[in-house]
Amino acid sequence: MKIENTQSQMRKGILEYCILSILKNGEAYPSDIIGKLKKAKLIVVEGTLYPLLTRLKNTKLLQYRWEESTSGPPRKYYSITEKGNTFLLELDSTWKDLAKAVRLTTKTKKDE
Amino acid sequence: MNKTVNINLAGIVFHIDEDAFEILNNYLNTLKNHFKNEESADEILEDIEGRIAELFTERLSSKEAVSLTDVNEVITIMGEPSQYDDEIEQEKPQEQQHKEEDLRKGKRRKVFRDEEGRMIGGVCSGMANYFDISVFWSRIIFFFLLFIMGPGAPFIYIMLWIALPSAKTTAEKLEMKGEKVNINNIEKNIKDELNIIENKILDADKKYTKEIFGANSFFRKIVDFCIRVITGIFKFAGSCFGIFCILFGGILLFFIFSFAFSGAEILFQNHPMVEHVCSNFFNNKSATWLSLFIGIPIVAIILFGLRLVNNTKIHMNYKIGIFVLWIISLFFLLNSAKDISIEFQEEAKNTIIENIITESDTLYLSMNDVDRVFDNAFDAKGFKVTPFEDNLMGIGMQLDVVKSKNNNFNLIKEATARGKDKHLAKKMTEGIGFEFTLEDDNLIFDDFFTISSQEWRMQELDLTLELPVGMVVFLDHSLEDLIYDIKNVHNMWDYDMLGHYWKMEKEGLTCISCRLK
Repeated sequence: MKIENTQSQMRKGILEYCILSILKNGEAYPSDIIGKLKKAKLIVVEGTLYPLLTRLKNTKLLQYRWEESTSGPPRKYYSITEKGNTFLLELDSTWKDLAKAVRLTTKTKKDE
Repeated sequence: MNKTVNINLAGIVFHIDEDAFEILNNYLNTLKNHFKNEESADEILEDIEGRIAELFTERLSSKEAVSLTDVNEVITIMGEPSQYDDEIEQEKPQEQQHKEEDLRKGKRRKVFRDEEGRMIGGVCSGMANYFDISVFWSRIIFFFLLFIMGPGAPFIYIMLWIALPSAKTTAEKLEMKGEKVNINNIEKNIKDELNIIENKILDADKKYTKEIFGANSFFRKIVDFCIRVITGIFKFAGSCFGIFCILFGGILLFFIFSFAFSGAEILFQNHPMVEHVCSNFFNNKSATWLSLFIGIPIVAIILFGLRLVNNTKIHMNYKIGIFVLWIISLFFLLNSAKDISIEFQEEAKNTIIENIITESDTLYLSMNDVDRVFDNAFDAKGFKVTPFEDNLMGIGMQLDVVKSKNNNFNLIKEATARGKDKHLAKKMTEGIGFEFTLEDDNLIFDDFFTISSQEWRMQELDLTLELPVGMVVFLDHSLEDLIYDIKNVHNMWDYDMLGHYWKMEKEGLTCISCRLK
């Protein structure tokens, strides 16, 4: 079992959860999202984000609109859909459960 | 100093150093390859290109051209596919993974139309890819179906044309051919695809200048379709002709080869006369040369057919080699023909006079006519010769009736034959025999002559009956095939002379039983 596989498994679900959470607060264009994710050290390279966004858009969790940019090509502004909101709510509760579970299990280990 | 290239990224034009362009181009190709299984790969790539354009714009505030450093920085920011491999690879459903594994082993294939190898719609070549056979065979099969099913085959073809998707993406093409997915294949396919995209871009440019005749306009599509159907029909007709050439040549070649390996027996097994011409001519060697002489043009026809069907080209050296071989075979054949003609170069005659002794003044002539089958005979100058018992026999001799120089009935048998020299020819004539029976005043001829030799050297036999003045012959109807151009005072045709009594007068043969006007 490779450590990288486990790590990416863990990161994968969280990444989608985080993108949806960022967009919950309002629309954003990829560079904004990247900035936030980079700050949180969730992603290292920007290339990771684009396939994820496209996939979320294809499953109708996200939508986008075009906006002209003064510095460069037109930008895609992403926002969360209603379906995405429902999805996010479910993820919220799952995450809470998971966080609790992790806290509990790791705590026990430390105590021993 | 650096040479720059102009590129269009997400609608913005950049000047980019040539070396930087190479790196960027490679990077985008790697990304394309990486996302090839992705549903909306094009969209992802567009987004990434858009982001790269944005990053370039930020860096170009103070200068004109994108440099190698810029490109490397941007690539570092965007990341190599290997860096986000872990985040994508796992996303594929289990089924997809199995599929890819099969694909990698060259197991699983899907039926697509192969537009690249198409003649009309790419159905045959798609089928060939699926069944892993040469497209040549799938077209042959289609051609046979056309024969068996008549108009049903084109109908099925059109149904498949509509129903089957064409293999467009790299992955689909690999899936179609079941090729192993490895770096070389992908690189090859990506190059092809880039060419296609390049063409698409060129087409799109034209679209703006020619709105109506643009690449995607309905009108253009119709025209494209018509052109494709027409060229398809031409190509199809060409390949039909090619297939015909191949089949025709193949069948002929089959016989020629049987001929070569069986020493003429198969081709001439129904013609037993051949061995009597020259027993050592149709030996294996001559048969081989003859086979080459006939076979090489047939092979040429087959190759021509192959070229029409499959565009198989033959190297010039082979063509020259085959042609030289053909010339050699021609030379040897001519040599054999010369050997044979030598056997016939001299002619000799042998005349035998037989006295026919009879008390009567009237001779009844008839022929012991048996209906003989002379199917396997050699026919020369009206004489047919065929094997008979251990030797040969012939028919076709002619009987003339002339005035005798003395008071005897004489039958003159004049035999002719050929040979390598006078002596051999003479020997051949001596082998010719002809029999008749004399019963009182009935002279009955055999309807054939015998040749007491194994060799056929154009043996001929002519008969002349000498009739003394004052004597009478009766020509029986059985002589119909024997008598020829008998001179008579009435200038009567041979056939009319039958069934009558003819008396030899000083003036010539005179009919004494005809009712003359």
